[in-house]
Formats: sequence, structure tokens, C-alpha cells
Amino acid sequence: MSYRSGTVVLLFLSGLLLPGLLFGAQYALPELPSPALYGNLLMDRASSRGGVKPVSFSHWTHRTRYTCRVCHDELEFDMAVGSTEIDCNDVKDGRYCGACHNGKQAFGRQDNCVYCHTGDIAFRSDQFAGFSRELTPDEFGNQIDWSQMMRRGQIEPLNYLYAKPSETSFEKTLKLDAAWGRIPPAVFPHKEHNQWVGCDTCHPDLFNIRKQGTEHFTMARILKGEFCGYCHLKVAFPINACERCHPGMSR
Amino acid sequence: MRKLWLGLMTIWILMPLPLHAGTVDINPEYNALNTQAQQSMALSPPELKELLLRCTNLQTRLPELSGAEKKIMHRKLRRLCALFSYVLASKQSPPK
Ligand code: HEC
Ligand code: HEC
Ligand code: HEC
Ligand code: HEC
Ligand code: HEC
Ligand code: HEC
Repeated sequence: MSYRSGTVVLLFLSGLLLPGLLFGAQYALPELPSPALYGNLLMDRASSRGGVKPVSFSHWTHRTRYTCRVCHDELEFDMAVGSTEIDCNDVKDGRYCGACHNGKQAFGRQDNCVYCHTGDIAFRSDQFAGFSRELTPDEFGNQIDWSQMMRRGQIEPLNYLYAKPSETSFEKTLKLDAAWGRIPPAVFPHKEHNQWVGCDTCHPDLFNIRKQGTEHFTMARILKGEFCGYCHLKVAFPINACERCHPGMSR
Repeated sequence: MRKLWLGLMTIWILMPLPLHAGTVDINPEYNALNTQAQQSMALSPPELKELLLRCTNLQTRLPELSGAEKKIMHRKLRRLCALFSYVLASKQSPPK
């Protein structure tokens, strides 16, 4: 092999490998908790100060019964732990957790302080193994393929508490091209999101194509919790699952 | 007579608060607007303009409320109005 063709081969190889190597070197993926704890939260904006233990909340328990829309659109929980201003009178008066935890849909506030104020982020996680056994497995996060479960009707979460929303009318799948030539584009399916998330959770606060084009969706910003990272770091399947967003990428 | 009077007082006290205050319930319009978000792409620009108007009108009534209810409706209506104008804008000049 001549000197020249060797260089060409090298250049060719590094062209293929470099983006991946650079990506690995530049961005450290956050460490994932165990599947039973993925999406579990400890809320303590006011509890400790009020002399009670922090409140534990698990997404996996609740999302089998309710979509994100119910809590983050109708009930107006923030999508950031410890930021919604809640005092326990709200819960007593039927707001926030109290919209369901009223002794009818779910255990009520009275006499049940310790079911919420556990101070333990792993509260009832021992039940997770039994729960997840029958479900469609996945690699990361809760290691449950929530989209697939929805498609198969293995879960049928309620989409509203107070007023039934009109039929969703937008199913467009968008191809989001990378700023770098060799990176397979990311896909964004509206249909799969609409069944969980309300339009106004995303538009225009998170995604406003008029203000910033999609070329700003860099992985660096996604990993900081912007754009897709708003959900895909904490509750929806995590960033480790490259091929689910970049179908052309193989590991 | 005394029993009747006591009975009436009890009913009055047990009545939901907004009725005491004599305000007209904001909830039906609030819920009606909420239900429209998911189908907003199926609406025409005139329909969207109408919704946007109703949404901003309802925002001006928030001072009638107080406490957590006001806070929750304020947040929700801000996002809802913003969504209607976002969808309206993208219908009027779709992205390339
Ligand atoms: C039963 C109610 C409920 C449902 C259903 C629900 N959430 Fe949440 N979510 C909460 C609460 C409560 C918080 C914490 C809010 C706070 O502390 O201010 C939260 C917080 C979050 C956070 C921030 C987590 C963090 O660590 O900061 C994200 C992201 C989130 N939710 C996404 C979702 C997604 C996506 C779905 C649907 C798959 C969903 N949630 C369904 C109640 C819910
Ligand atoms: C949209 C309705 C809804 C909301 C809002 C909601 N929950 Fe629940 N929650 C349920 C239902 C239904 C159950 C299961 C039935 C039961 O345990 O009584 C449940 C179960 C629980 C459990 C038992 C956990 C388990 O693993 O079985 C805890 C703890 C809990 N919720 C805490 C909370 C807290 C804290 C909040 C507010 C931050 C909250 N929930 C908001 C409906 C809701
Ligand atoms: C359904 C869940 C739930 C139950 C049951 C519950 N709480 Fe709470 N409580 C909350 C949430 C959510 C917060 C706000 C969490 C935070 O960010 O610190 C809170 C906050 C508090 C606070 C601090 C803020 C304030 O209101 O002063 C106190 C004190 C409190 N709860 C007492 C109680 C007592 C006493 C009971 C039992 C009678 C109880 N809670 C039962 C969910 C619950
Ligand atoms: C939740 C969806 C999602 C996941 C998961 C995801 N990406 Fe991305 N990624 C995007 C989006 C959106 C963009 C911006 C549009 C584009 O470049 O395709 C992007 C862009 C990129 C880029 C272009 C350069 C840059 O920094 O923006 C690279 C490289 C990349 N992703 C690599 C990866 C790798 C490697 C993984 C797995 C560790 C991964 N992505 C997981 C959504 C995702
Ligand atoms: C989980 C987040 C999310 C949800 C929920 C969502 N979208 Fe989008 N939407 C996006 C992203 C990402 C894009 C592409 C990037 C951008 O527009 O900034 C987009 C693009 C759009 C666009 C402009 C692009 C085009 O091709 O027309 C419109 C209009 C739109 N969405 C409407 C809606 C409506 C209506 C709903 C509810 C039925 C909805 N979206 C739900 C994330 C979302
Ligand atoms: C508001 C929350 C939210 C945001 C923002 C969001 N997603 Fe998702 N996404 C979800 C939820 C919830 C699911 C259901 C699967 C799960 O929870 O693991 C999902 C599923 C998906 C799926 C899987 C669909 C399937 O058929 O399996 C893809 C692909 C995806 N998201 C890509 C993206 C990309 C790309 C972005 C950013 C442009 C994005 N998402 C932003 C919440 C979100």
C-alpha cells in the first residue's frame, strides 16, 4: 500500500469515527438511577421547613393511570422538582395531589400523612419488579417501553380529570437535521407525544421554530435539560437510547 | 321558626364560596378553552383569532379570584393564549 492511499484510508476511517469519539469525549451522559427509581422524586420546597419529612412521588406508579397532560397541564405541576408552590391546604382543598388524593380516587390526606411524607425516594420501589415483569421491556430509564405499551393497550391512562379534550388533530413526524453532516437526523413524532403531553407544554415555551430554528437543538443543550432534555433526562426514556431519536445511528 | 332560620344559615354556610361572593363562575369558560388546545391545528385562522380573544378576555377576569386558584389559572391561561397565537402564526406563514 502506498503512503498516499494509507492516508486516504486513515482519513476515511477517522471521518467515520470522529463524530462518535468527539461526542463521547465532549458530553458525559448523566448517571442513571436503578429502573425502579427512574422518575422518582423527593419534593421538599416546604416540607422540612414545616416540620414534616419530604414528599415522595413516583412517576411510574402514576403514569400507568394518568397521562402527563393531567398533572402538568390540568393540575399545573411544574416540570421541575421542588418548584411548584404547594402547601398542604392545597392538597386538603382538592388541588395538586389533592385532586385525586381525596379518599375517592386515591387515599386522602387525612390520617395518611406518612404515605406522602415518607422522606424516602425509594418508597414502595420493592413493588416495581412485580409491576414491570409483565410489561414491554426496554433498555434504559424504567426499562419499560412506555410508547409500545400505549400502542398495545397494555395501559390506558386517563387523559383528563375535569374537561375532556377535543380529538388531537396533528400527527406530523418531523425530521430534525444535525448541524454536523455525518450525524443521522433525529426524528420527532408528534403522534407519540400527543398521547402523553399537551401541546401547550411544548409550544411555544420549549419549541418555537419562529424564534430559534432547530439547528440550535445541540446535544450539549439537550443534556442541560433544554428542548428534548426537558423530559428525556428524568421521566421519558433517557438520552442513552441514541437510536430511538436517531434511527440511523447504530452502536 | 328558629329551626328554619338555623337550617337556612347552615345551607348558606355550606354553599361554595364563589356563590357567597356573588361572582359568576369562571370555570365553564376556562374548561371550554382548555379543551380546544389539542385540536388547534384543525381550526381556521378566524376560529383561532376568536379563541385567542376569549382567552385574553378571561385573563382580564382573573383579579376576581384569589390564592392558589388564581395562580393556577393564571399560569394555564398564559400558556394557552401563547399556544393559540403560535398555531395561528404558523398557519398564516408556515415554516419553510
Ligand atoms: C400524577 C401526576 C403526574 C403525572 C401523571 C406526571 N407527572 Fe411529572 N411531575 C409530577 C410532580 C408532582 C412533579 C414535581 C413537581 C414539583 O416538585 O414542583 C413532576 C415533575 C416532573 C419533571 C421534573 C423532574 C425533576 O427531576 O426535576 C419532569 C421532567 C416530568 N415531571 C415529566 C413528566 C412526564 C414526561 C410525564 C408523562 C409521562 C409526567 N411527568 C407525568 C406529577 C406528575
Ligand atoms: C391524577 C391523580 C393523582 C394525582 C394528581 C396524584 N396521585 Fe398519587 N396516586 C393516585 C392513584 C390513583 C394512586 C393509586 C391508588 C392508591 O394508592 O390509593 C396513587 C398512589 C400514590 C402513592 C402510593 C404509591 C404506590 O407506589 O402505590 C403515593 C405515595 C402517592 N400517590 C403520592 C402522590 C403525591 C405526593 C402526589 C402529589 C405530588 C400525588 N400522589 C398526586 C392518583 C394521583
Ligand atoms: C397526597 C399527598 C400528601 C398527604 C397525604 C399529605 N401531604 Fe403534606 N404536603 C404534600 C405536598 C405535595 C406538600 C408540598 C411538598 C414540598 O414541596 O415540600 C406538602 C407539604 C406539607 C407541609 C409543609 C407546607 C405547609 O403546608 O405548611 C406540611 C406541614 C404538611 N404537608 C403536613 C401534612 C400533614 C400533617 C399531613 C397529614 C394530615 C399531610 N401533610 C399529608 C402532600 C401530602
Ligand atoms: C430524546 C432524543 C435524543 C436522544 C435520545 C439522543 N439525541 Fe442526539 N440529537 C437530538 C436532537 C433533536 C438533535 C439536534 C438535531 C440533529 O442534530 O439531528 C441531536 C443532535 C445530535 C448530534 C449533532 C451534534 C450536536 O451536538 O448537536 C450528535 C453528534 C448526536 N445528537 C449524538 C447523539 C448520541 C451519541 C446519542 C446517544 C448517546 C444521542 N444523540 C441521543 C435528539 C436526541
Ligand atoms: C413533546 C413536545 C411537543 C408536543 C407535545 C407538541 N409538539 Fe409541535 N413540535 C415539537 C417540535 C420539537 C417541533 C419541531 C421544532 C420546532 O417547531 O421548534 C414541533 C413543530 C410544530 C409545528 C411547526 C412545524 C410544522 O411543520 O408545522 C406546529 C404548528 C406544531 N408543532 C403544533 C403542535 C400542536 C398543535 C400540538 C398538539 C396537538 C403539538 N405541536 C404538540 C414538539 C411538540
Ligand atoms: C414534554 C416532554 C417531552 C419532550 C420535551 C420530548 N419528549 Fe419525546 N417522549 C416523551 C414521552 C413521555 C414519550 C413516551 C415514551 C417514554 O416515556 O419513554 C416520548 C417518546 C419519544 C420517542 C419514542 C416514540 C416511539 O414510537 O417509541 C421519540 C423518538 C422521542 N420521544 C423523541 C423526542 C425528541 C427528538 C424530542 C426533542 C425534539 C422530544 N422527544 C421531546 C416526552 C417528551
